[in-house]
Amino acid sequence: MIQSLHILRKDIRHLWLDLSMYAALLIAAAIAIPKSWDPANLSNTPLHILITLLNVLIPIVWLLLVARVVHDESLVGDTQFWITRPYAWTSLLSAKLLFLMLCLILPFAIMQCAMVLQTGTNPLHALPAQMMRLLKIAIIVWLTFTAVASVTSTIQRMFMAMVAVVLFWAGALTLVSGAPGPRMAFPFASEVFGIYLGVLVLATLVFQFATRNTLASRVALMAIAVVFVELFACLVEGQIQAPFNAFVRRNYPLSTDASLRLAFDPTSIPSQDAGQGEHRISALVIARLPIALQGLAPTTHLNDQNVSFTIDAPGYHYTAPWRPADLEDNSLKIFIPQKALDAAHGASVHMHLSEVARRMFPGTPQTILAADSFHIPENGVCHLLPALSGDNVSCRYAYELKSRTMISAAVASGTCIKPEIFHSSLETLAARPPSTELDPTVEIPLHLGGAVCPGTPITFTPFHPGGNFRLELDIPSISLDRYLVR
Amino acid sequence: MTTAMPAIETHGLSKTFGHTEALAPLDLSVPRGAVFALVGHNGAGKTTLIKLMLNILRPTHGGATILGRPTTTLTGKSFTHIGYVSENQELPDWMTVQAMMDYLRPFYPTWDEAHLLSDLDLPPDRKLKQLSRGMRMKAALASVLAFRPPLIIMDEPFSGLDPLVRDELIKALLDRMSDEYEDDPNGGLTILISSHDLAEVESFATHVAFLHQGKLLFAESLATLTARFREVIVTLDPAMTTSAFTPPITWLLPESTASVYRFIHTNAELDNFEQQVRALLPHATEIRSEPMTLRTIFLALAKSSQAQDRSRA
Amino acid sequence: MLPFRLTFRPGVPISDQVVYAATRAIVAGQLQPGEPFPSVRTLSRDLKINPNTAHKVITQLLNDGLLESRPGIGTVVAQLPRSTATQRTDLLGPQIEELVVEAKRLSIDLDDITAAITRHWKRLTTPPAGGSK
Repeated sequence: MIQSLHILRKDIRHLWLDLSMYAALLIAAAIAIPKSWDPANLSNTPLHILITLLNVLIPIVWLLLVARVVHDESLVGDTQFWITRPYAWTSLLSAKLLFLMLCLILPFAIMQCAMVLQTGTNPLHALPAQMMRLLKIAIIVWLTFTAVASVTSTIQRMFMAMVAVVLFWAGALTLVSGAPGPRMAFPFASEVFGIYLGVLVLATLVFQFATRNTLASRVALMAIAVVFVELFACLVEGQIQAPFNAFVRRNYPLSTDASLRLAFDPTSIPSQDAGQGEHRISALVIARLPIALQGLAPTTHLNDQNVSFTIDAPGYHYTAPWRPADLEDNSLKIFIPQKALDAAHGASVHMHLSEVARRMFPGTPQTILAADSFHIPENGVCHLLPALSGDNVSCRYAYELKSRTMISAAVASGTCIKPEIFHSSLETLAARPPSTELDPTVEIPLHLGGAVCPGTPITFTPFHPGGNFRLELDIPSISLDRYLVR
Repeated sequence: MTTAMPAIETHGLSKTFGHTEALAPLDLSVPRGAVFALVGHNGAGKTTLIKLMLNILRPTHGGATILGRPTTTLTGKSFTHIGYVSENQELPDWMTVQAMMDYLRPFYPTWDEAHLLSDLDLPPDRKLKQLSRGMRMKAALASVLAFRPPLIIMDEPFSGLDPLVRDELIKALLDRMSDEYEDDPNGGLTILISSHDLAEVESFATHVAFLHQGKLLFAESLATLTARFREVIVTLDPAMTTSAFTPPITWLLPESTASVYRFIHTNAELDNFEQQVRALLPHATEIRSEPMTLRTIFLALAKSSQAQDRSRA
Repeated sequence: MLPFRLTFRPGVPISDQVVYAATRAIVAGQLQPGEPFPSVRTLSRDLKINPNTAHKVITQLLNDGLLESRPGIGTVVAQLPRSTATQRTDLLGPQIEELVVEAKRLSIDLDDITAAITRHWKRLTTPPAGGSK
């Protein structure tokens, strides 16, 4: 422990100039970004250029800091000063990780808190969201930087390696997303990837510090990347159908609600006008089936709706992958491979459909009185724009808007000074994940279709998840040709 | 020297890089208290051998022990007893000399800087990267002598240094040896120095080993080595012709004219040394044998090995 | 400061060479009786020899009676000991004969040899008191 702190102190002394530069950039961001929230600064181009610059510079400074601190006691080669000195590798590794946490992550977190403070919300309330955000950055960025630094000896080499990493990811993921048509995301994709990457890269890092076997570590990192792409292909793109399907079925159990069902109306033919859309995507043909979801309570909302189906024709069977469901206008849009249509020869086929979804129930509403600036639930703050006519409410949340929220208020058609007709308005905001930029807040302008006047009560109703379910529908005979979109 | 376990011992230790055998399997023993000179031309394998001893490289075959423990089990802690100085090793260039000493101190429980920096005439506030090559070596040596290790390994410490600096380095080493001698006359301090030029070390070395192209030609005490090597000059009677003969394997680099036959004898302690010579050179009128310095022995061995390699090729 | 230098010659053990050099310095008066003899450390540093060798040298000189150990002071130069009868016979007998044989072999005449002996003798004679030290 003492050796760790001793090495840490040396590193901080050695890199004080770089750390000062980093601090300056963070302070600049903490001042400039909140300035950009002010609508008056919308056309302040120098400010926006500065912010873009900071968004690029700060990750570069991360790379610089990680490279310099890890390379100060490089793990690569056999002429380093420290390898014939009484260093315990555990002390060395913990010293570098401590540096990372104390000098890289902590100042960044403080900058984030400073910015959140400037929205008017309490940063402590947003701590769990902040921790999740930091964890994601840690796994994707900081841990990767540290692992690559541990298998390189100079900053130039590390930079080249990072370029190679980025190119690999971009190339591999584009290649993998080859199959046409939208796909369902694996239910726990980010958790699986996060743990996979985090644990394996960390293990490789520890291995490299313990054994200084650079060749093996480099191979391990490349293998992790390749397997990751494979994993991504399987989970996200659903390329291994059977286990994927089985898992989805388990995660979305058959619905026990008797009133909720899928219904097929053989008498109606939905509009086959593709409009601005396509009628096919490469080998997939688009069809609209007259299928509706019935029995859903009006206040319930459904998230993550996905549909899969099987087609059975004489001598031909097809199982479709899970795809996001498009159930508007009492019709379901599906993608059928050309081969299936050919196998059907225009005759009827047997079709079986499954739909999965997550219920979202409205929770306890909260009513807030509008003012120039007012706090709203879920770590948010709203401002009334000075215009006081038209859509004049802009809300800003710390890190994310976690759950879908319904907003209702009485809005004025004209301005608030001479109020004319008030009408009630309802808007639903979808959940918004954190941005990938330095700005720790997400801005959501409200579109209530009228001005909210100061003093008006606004009601916020968050939605809460209420369980997964699956619905099955069997259609013994259906002629697909009738429903093809043109 | 004690008869206790040797400071360093190797058994069939060898190292191959790809298809090149950098070190053929060798057995070596460095006794405690020895000043062990490792001689060989550049590329002979001296640095490879040293790196194997310090677990900087892993052996391809065989093994070695250092201070009683297998080299492959050397931990960070073992280096509190081993000092390593090498012309190739990096130093924390951004630190000043004193800053480096201060930084290293907590790593070593036996640290005692005393007057090392002033004895070696080192400017404590100068950054290491601003020091000349000689000063850097002195600084490196200071950072090793300061924690009084019982084993010091030096890889080409004098290479490229001017005589004044070499002198200072040697004096510092001898001082340390005297310290150690005063504490324990039965020898605790072992020094291993590798070099391709041993003029300085010859006066206080106790053992020498000679590496040639990865092979250990010999390893023995300096006393026996200098006793058995003699430059022999035989004056021949010009009136008689000498019949051709194959010189024995102990005769190196034979040269002859009509009146002189000269060679290097590698086993001149033979009782029947003169008889052996006369038996092969019956017309010898005078046999003179001169002792050789370590440098001339090394030169002769290097030339002889070269000649052997050429004749084999 | 060491009153004697060592020009390292191969073939002869270093300890013997140092003993000879020290003996030479003592007989020549460069080291006076009662003067402290350099320590192991000083010998080692100045002559660049192993401390073990330096110790061996001092032990040899003590045995030869050229140095003596004084409690509280250390090793000092002793009064030149009286030679034993055997030592005198050995020097004036076989050792001189070796010199004469060698001289005759090289055809050096008696006058030259005597002159040389006188020269070396004078060079190593103790200077008068209050001299070069």
